[in-house]
Amino acid sequence: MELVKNVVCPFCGTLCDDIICKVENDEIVGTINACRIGHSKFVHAEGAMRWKKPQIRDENGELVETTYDDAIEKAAQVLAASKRPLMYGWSCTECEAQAVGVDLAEQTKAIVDNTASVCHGPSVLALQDVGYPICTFGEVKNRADVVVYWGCNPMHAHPRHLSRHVFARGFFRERGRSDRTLIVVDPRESDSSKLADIHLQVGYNQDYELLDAMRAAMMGHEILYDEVAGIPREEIMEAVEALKNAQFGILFFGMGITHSRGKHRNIDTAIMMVQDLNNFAKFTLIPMRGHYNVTGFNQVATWESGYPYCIDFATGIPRYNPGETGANDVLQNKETDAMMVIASDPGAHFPQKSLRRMAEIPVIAIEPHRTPTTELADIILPPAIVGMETDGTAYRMEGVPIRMRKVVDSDLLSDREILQRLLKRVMEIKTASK
Amino acid sequence: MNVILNTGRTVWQGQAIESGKDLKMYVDAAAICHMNREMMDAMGLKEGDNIQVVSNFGDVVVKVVNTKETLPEGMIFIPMGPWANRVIDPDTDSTATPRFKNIPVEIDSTDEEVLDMPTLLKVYRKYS
Repeated sequence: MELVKNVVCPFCGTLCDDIICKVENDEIVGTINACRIGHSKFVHAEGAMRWKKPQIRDENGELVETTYDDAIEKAAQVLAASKRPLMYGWSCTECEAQAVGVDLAEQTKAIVDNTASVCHGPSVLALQDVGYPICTFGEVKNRADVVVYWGCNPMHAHPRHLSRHVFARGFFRERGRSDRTLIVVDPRESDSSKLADIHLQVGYNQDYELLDAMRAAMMGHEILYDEVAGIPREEIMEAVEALKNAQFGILFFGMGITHSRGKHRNIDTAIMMVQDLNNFAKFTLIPMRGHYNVTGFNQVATWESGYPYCIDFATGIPRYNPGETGANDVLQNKETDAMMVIASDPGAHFPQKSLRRMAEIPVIAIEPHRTPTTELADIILPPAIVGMETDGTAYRMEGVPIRMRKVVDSDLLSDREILQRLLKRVMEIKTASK
Repeated sequence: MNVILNTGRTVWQGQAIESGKDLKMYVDAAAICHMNREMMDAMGLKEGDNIQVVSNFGDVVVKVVNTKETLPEGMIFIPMGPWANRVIDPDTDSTATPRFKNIPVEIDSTDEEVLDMPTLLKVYRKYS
């Protein structure tokens, strides 16, 4: 058995870069250091279906095995014929593939959107409104003495986040956890809040009220009510004092505030609270990004088009209007007439109304496994998995690029190669039809 | 009973999606409804019973589990996935992001079975 060290985990935005993979006969059979979720990604589970060859559905709806040439030809025909194609996903692949994808979207006059639109999209809208006072994980580990997790449950969603950044010892935090104050804001008594020094059990959909009250208190105003958002005034004041007295504070925030009432307005206020806190302390924030390279797509799309997600190339120039040009908007409004899904699973994570449209239109899935999306797909193109079977660049949740490693070989094409071949064939069809 | 539905990641759901969404593990991790013991007692439910969850947007059958992460009174929690997404609010409020959390739903005990992933996706009738 061979041990491959310093492997980067291709699951969540924490991008843990200390994984050791146990390799036997060119197959990953075990891991060291990975969390429960990361381990499950690296090691094939008994009974789970992985697509070994491209698939096309026949007239009876049955999947039939085919070649890459055939499947790419059929997919290119679908994209070339579509009046308003949607290209969605991108967050579980590497930046070089994403760059080819944005090119493909431009050439086919498509709408291109990534999983941010069902995740931290509201955070993107907010940082465009009011700014982005961010720092790196290294600064958190070495400097942070006050750590806030707002509307997120890292013990479940980013299992090693706390151990790497809160419990870990840092240059100025030699004792690790005991040198830090941990504040968790969550309506539930979550497994993360159980570890906190202060748990603010905010009423659901009331994050905005709580943030507003905290900002008012920071600015020296009195909170006029006995409780705000279900939290007694004294508890709010205790948290505000802890925040103001930080030497280096960090706000991590998640779906608890991006998905509840107020959406991007919640994040607006949270970012402004961080800005207010800089009158007293050094304070920064990092959004708890989910997919390991969701941040990378926002970076790549912004270099290529000027916009981070929800980009509409219909007129030949990039246009950006989340709420109109988001994947869920164009599906639910029945605008899109063909969908290409890559490196994500909208079949599992889009609401029922969007799935009803996916069932009406041709769907191309560039996807390694059997998923709810491939249940709705007409063409399946299986890629080699980035970070395990092919390399590439990914951006950690706070925007640090990290090179993903190849651990084992694969016969399958990479996402990048599939997209390059698709782009070439689409261009040939479009040129010939002119 | 009228309750508020919260959704989100659990480590078990995360493990299941990476192990294989066609496995029973996924059904066991995501086609479930976390509930406080008090609510289960009030509805006469025990762990493993099935409930139907109905919202203005759809319905789904899931299995009841007693939560280890205590919920506020009147709240249930279904891990993110195609089961929860049958009932969440698809409206994006012009932000491109649907409302995945805090959805008013009605829950009732039921004898109907929990559907596995491929069967659940047949509801959308892509190939009927």
